[in-house]
Amino acid sequence: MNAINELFSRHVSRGSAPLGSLKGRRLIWVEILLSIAVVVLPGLLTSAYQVRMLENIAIFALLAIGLNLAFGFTGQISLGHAAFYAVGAYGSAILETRFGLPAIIAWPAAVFLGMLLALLISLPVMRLSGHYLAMATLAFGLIIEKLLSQGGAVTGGHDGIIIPVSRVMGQALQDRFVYVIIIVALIAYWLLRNLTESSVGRSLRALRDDPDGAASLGIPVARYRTLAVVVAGGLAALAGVFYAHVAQVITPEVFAVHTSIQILMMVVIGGMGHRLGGVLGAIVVLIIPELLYGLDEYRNIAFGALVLAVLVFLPRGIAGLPEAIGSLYRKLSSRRVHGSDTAAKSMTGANHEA
Amino acid sequence: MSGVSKKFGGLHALDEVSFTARSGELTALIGPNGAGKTTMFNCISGSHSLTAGEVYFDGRLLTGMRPAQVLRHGLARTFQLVRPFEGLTVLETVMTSGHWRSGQTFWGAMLPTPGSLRSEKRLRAEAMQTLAALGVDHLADQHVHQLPYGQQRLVEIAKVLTTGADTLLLDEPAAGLHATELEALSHVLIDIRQAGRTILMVEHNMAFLMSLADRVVVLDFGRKLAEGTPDEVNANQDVIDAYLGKGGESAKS
Repeated sequence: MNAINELFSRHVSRGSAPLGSLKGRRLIWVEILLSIAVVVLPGLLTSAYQVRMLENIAIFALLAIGLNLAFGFTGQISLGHAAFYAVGAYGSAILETRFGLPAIIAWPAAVFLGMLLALLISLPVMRLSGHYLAMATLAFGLIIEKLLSQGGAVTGGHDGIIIPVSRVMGQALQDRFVYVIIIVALIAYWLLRNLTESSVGRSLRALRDDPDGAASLGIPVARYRTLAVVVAGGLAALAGVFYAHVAQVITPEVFAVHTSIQILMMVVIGGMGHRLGGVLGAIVVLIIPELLYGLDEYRNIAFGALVLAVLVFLPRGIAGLPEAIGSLYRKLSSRRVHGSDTAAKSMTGANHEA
Repeated sequence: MSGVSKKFGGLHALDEVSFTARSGELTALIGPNGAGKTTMFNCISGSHSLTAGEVYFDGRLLTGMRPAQVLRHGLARTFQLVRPFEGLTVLETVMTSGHWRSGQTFWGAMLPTPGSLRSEKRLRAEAMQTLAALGVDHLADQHVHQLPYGQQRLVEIAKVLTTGADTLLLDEPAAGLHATELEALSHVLIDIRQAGRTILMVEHNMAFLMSLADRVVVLDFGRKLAEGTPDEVNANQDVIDAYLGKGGESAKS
């Protein structure tokens, strides 16, 4: 075996230290500190507007981490994710207002409905991928949106549904609702984070990159695809329940295609297939437009340019920023050291592309 | 492993081919381009369904099983082209091979139980061991698609080894390797066989394969042409005709 070692060591530099585990260990402290900060944050916020913003970020983080599991990790694009969001919002609202069910039954039922719908949808679209999957999920989103606006007395049509929140939830819960949303979103984040860091998470990324290759290694490709979509659907429905009880009124436009695209944008900008991707995406996509408020009509253009810049310069999203800086730094420093050594340059160049 | 017989498709890619790969031996499947070697592999590993015939493994019928089920019976394969998981490092790729027997489940993995942490540790240790045995453990944090071809091949072999399967189907492991890489690969294959594992290999490189194989099966146009030890096959007139053409003798004289 030593002979093989020698033979092969000629072809590659042995300089690279095992970085993977080290990075993972450092990142967990970032995650823990951020989690604590987020739970403390509502107490520090002064205006109702800021609290509302925080609730919105937590709700969209739920949507985005779910879609990141199904799309970023498992490779199943969805242009109709807002449909599951709608099922949660309308499901809970209809059960509470039309059937008079208490929140403790209506909310889990709405989440279950979202998961069930995701399961049913995943069966026929399972065989699709790429453009076809994008089209099918887009159509699914449009159908749900249409059903909501044409739903007559059940969905309230274009007027939507008004939810008597203080009656269904009670005043005490309503006052602390921001904590409930944040803590639930945090729990969801940690559960998915554990999942994607496990052997199952590696298998999801493997089947995303090469389904046949993954199947030949004994990974249950179809089962894992379905489960990822079911979890994403359930989290989206949960986000819908929260949205309905924060906004207190729900209308079909909120769950239209542009919302699906916004969620997808969060995943792509935050970092597809990165455990922090969904959360970072939700924060950036919701906060940056607020910061650009002073630009008035140029706001959308500035935001669009920013999104484009991220896509071009950070293909792995904001979560890939430290790595991009690191490899840029290595590239520059190695160029300084081995100014004439073209081999070294091409090595770091290859790393940078990864 | 016991008798294999199959007919395949309207275009008879494989026409009632039967052969046996014996346990603990290295059996090579050879033949000109389009002879049906890779098709045979796909049929055995469950990637293709058969038109007719049966594949038996250890006395059990494999026909009709999916790739994941075939693996559960102790049979793993590589692909002709290296198929990297681009988002995974070499170590992660090899760890993924052990997933099916790791005991980790989709819902269970959401909680970091002592069991799942232990399983992660074991997967990592096994993967590193396999990479070290193949002399590529220093590449653990690289990405497969960035490696030179010979090392990609070794990672592919690390993948099938880490599945824990006793029988390995290798589809042209030597394709595209240069002389030093070839030598390293043959050492690896000898080691694997000495560990008691069974290998069934499709290969084009005759010199490489004749030095390694215990038995050789020759396919031509979907039919079995010959079967025997490397020396027997080398001397077989049908095989010489298939490779050099029937006019070979007269052209020489």
